[in-house]
Amino acid sequence: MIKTIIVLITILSAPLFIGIINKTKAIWAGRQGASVFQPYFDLIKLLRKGETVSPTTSFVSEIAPSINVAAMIFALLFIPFPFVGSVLKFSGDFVLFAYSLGLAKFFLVIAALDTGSSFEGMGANREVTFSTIVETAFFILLGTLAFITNRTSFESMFAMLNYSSFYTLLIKLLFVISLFIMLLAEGSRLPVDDPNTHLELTMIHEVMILDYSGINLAFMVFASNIKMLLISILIANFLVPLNLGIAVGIALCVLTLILIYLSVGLIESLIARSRMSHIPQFLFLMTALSLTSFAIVAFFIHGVIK
Amino acid sequence: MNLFLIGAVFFLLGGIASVFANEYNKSIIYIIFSAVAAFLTSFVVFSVLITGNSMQTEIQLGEPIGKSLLVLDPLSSFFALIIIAGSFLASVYSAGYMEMYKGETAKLSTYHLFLGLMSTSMIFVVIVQNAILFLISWELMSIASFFLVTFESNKPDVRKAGIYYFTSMQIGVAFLIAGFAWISSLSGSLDFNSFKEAFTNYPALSDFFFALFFIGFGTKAGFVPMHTWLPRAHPAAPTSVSALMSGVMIKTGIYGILRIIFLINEIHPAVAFSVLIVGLITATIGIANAISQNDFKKLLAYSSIENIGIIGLGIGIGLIGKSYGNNLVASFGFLGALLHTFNHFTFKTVLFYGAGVVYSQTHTRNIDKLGGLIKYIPQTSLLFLIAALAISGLPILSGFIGEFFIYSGMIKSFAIGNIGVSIAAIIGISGLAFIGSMAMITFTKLFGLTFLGNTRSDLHSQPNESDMFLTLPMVILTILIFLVGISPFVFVTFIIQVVVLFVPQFSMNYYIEFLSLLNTITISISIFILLIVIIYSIRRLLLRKVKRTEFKTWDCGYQGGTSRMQYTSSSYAQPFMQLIAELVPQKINIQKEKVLFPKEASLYSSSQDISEGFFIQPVISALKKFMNLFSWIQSGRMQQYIIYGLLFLLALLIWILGVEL
Amino acid sequence: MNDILIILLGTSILYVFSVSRLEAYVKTLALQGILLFLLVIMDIKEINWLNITFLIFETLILKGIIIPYFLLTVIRRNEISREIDPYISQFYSILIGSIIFIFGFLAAFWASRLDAGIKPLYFGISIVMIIASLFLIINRKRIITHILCYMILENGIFLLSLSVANEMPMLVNLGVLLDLFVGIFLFAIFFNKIQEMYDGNKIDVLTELKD
Repeated sequence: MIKTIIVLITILSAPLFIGIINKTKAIWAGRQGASVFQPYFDLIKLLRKGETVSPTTSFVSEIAPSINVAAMIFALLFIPFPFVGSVLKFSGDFVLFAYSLGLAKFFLVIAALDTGSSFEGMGANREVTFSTIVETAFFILLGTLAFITNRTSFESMFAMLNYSSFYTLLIKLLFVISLFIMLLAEGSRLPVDDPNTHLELTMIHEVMILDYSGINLAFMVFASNIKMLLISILIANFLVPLNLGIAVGIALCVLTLILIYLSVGLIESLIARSRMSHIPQFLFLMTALSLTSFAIVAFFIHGVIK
Repeated sequence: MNLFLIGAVFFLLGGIASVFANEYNKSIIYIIFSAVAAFLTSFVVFSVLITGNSMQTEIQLGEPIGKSLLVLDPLSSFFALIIIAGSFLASVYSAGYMEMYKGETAKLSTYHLFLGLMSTSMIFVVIVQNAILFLISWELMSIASFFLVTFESNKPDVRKAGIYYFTSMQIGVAFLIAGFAWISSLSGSLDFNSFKEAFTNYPALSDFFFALFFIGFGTKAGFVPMHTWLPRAHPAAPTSVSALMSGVMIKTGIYGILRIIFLINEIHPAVAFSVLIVGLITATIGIANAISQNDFKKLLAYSSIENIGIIGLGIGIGLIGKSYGNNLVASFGFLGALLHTFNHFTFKTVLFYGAGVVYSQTHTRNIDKLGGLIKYIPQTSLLFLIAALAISGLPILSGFIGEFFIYSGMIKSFAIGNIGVSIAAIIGISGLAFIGSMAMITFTKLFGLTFLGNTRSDLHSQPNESDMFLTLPMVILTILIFLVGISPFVFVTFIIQVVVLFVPQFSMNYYIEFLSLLNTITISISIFILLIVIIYSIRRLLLRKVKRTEFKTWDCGYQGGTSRMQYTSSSYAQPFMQLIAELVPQKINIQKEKVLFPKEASLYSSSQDISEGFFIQPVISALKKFMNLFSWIQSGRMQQYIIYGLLFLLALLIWILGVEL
Repeated sequence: MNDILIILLGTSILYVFSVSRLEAYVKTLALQGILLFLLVIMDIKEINWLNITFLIFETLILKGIIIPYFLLTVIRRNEISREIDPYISQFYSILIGSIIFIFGFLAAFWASRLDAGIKPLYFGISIVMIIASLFLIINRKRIITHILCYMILENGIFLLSLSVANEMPMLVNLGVLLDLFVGIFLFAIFFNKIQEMYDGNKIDVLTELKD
């Protein structure tokens, strides 16, 4: 089926987009940088390396990376691709989507605690703390989406979101900004987390995979790549207009994704990592935007139209 | 029906029989009796749940109880199912857990006796339809559980906790007595069915009645602010009792609330919104306090409060649907609440049983002293992990399905169109998401710090994997968790008749829609499991070609690392606690002398429950002040008390004899 | 004949006021039991074997023989012989005892004026026994004496119930038996325990039970 092919292409292209981010950062810094396909080479290199396992760990570290990858791929099955739709859909499927990501996060965190290292514990507790804010805001966003469109599954929600009144455009803009903040948080990008730092006191995601090597590390990196792609496709759904032809639409979608990743790269080059105590404030911005969008929908859209 | 009654009494008979058994056989005899009881009762229960036809019988007792109906309708059967399963599993678990108390024959006899009494009285609570008999069963349940909680009565804090628990229960019962007395006087009879008519005759009063009964039943269930007994009673009780209380007994409070909803039938929107808000507040306060606990049983107790809040949220959604006439929302809400009731029973029982294994092997409840137990007790750790995943509501397991239904109810309620409902729905959605993420913090902390990593202190004896009695109940429940999580339609078939009780217009169309939804979920989750299996197989395939070495965890070259350097329970919770510092205030006590050379210093931190500070403490201090005014009456000297009696007697004599003339 | 027995009961109370040896208390108790037995026998109107056996058991055997014997053993085992000086001196306590006695007769007089169907003298003397035993409890300092005066209280209540009906209703009978059981056995058991825990058997230590 077309959908399965598209899903496979998406999965395989996830490292490519990360390559785009790295290339952007390199060019902005005046370097030539590695090729956009470098992440692929890194992954293949990791898959061929041996593993070093700590005797403190247990079966949890053994299965966590596999569960992460499986959860990300599973979540991808619910994301609606513009014009194509999602592979799986049912009423309320975005709950399963969000909670599958939650399952992946749970295993990531306990695998971090499994190593018995205080660095990883540090990353673990920061990760779960920030995810409370992000999850809540994400659900407010999804609830608002259900409220506007009066639909309950991802595919139908996005299909309905296409009549363009002024308020709808405003809502879409707020959603895009919120989801962008979520992209930065969940994808472990600056200003929330620095993917290049190796100072343990400043890491969140990087430090949780500190003890992985070889195949497990490849799986973890791959999973986080897919997660970024997931959220980017969600953003793209808001930005790509649906009333053009399929070919133009797909091209626009890919272009939007490249643009999104470029912006992430730009932001990473321009902004420094926030202080740890300022990160919650930054994430609350996402909550505030989601709540504002709900308020707009509740009072203006439903007040005016209904 | 009579078969059911005989089965119900068998629990009590088992308790009595085990009193007369010798020390080694007590638990076995009790298991046999409870197996018989479970066997006899489950047939009846399942038939009622599947067909939807109630069964009833009538018993005649002396005045003032009079005639009493004992009814097994789908609502009663659902809760009876939970009670029977919980009691039977408790009997099996006790056989293993009570080995710790070998030699204390008298105490073991009392334990089994009261366990039997508690099980039987709980079953009677859900089938009795006469107000006074209901209160008698309710009180028997409270008394039996009180004696079970104070099992280790030689410890002073256990005694204190037991008395606090008992007092809270009595305060709750006071509200119940008030409610039942009022409605009986309005309806003229003690029978529950007559209450139905009375409620329809007095619609304006139904809100007050609901409030009275909600407070009364809510004390048992553990809604805020009546929840303060839970974090005291659960750590004090032996683990098998904590599991029974947390998994089964607090659900009888939910049963009471649902029964009252069933009797009142016309619920006003204001009541629905209040239930939703109370549920949300309960869940938030529950889980927020759970995050900061170091005692794992207290953590589990607060988590029970959180789950009761989620059940309350589900009931609130169901009521909103009912009061605005949207059957789909109502069905989802009640379905979610009921499913979560059952799910919470399964996974909380497994969690407590696992905690009991940990306690029986390590004799400490402090997370900061544990760690690395997965190497010593791997099976228990695996079962505990599954239960921890389930209680966080993660997919594949049953916890997700319950929360999914509640989410569906909230999302579909946007279609009602009422702005109040929509705001309530978004608050509910965001609240449930927030609570779910907090639950993730709590259970990663509980599982990760207790079982993973290295042991943080010197455990005097190496923990061993426990025997079959302790593991078997956990295995049974874990299988249930998987079953409900992967193929929920089997279980929903049982619950659907209960939902029909509350949403009478639930037609077959909805049922077909539900089934297709559930089938899609099953298919999706099966795809998920398939994906996990495929990816893991890829990993193992790739692993064959590469080398695998062992080296200690990366410690950045620091050679002096100890296991104490891992994250502790308070440090794990600290960033989040900072965020919600107003909700869960921390009390920090630092003892440090300001001298030139460092000497001994100590720091003690604990978290406080603000609902206690807000609601309970002021009432208690006001009462104390008031009572202190009369403290001169109690001097401790018996002569003085007899003088009081004598004076009264004389006064009475003179009045009756003298005045009458 | 009945009246003589009742007056004898009242006099035994006065005797208890004046005596200070504990064995005398016990013997008075036994005497009261036998007197009550005689009272009950006198008043039997119909032969109901179950009831008669029960009453004989309660009055003669339990109150007249077993309980005094039991208390006597306790006293002898703990080697207490005398009551300590009471709060109010002996003279004034006997005076108060007499006043109570007179008050009882007054009560009997009042009761006879009512048409209530109670036997006035029974009523009066039972009031004497109850109030006097309460006063004795207030006045004495040893725990064992409290138990003994409590038994006298029970006898007074038994007499009161006799005044209301010829045969006591079962319920009151059972209540009295329960009181006896509770009082004697728990007190006796606790008495030994209290003696072990606190040196001595004065009741001042009981003030520690206060909140």
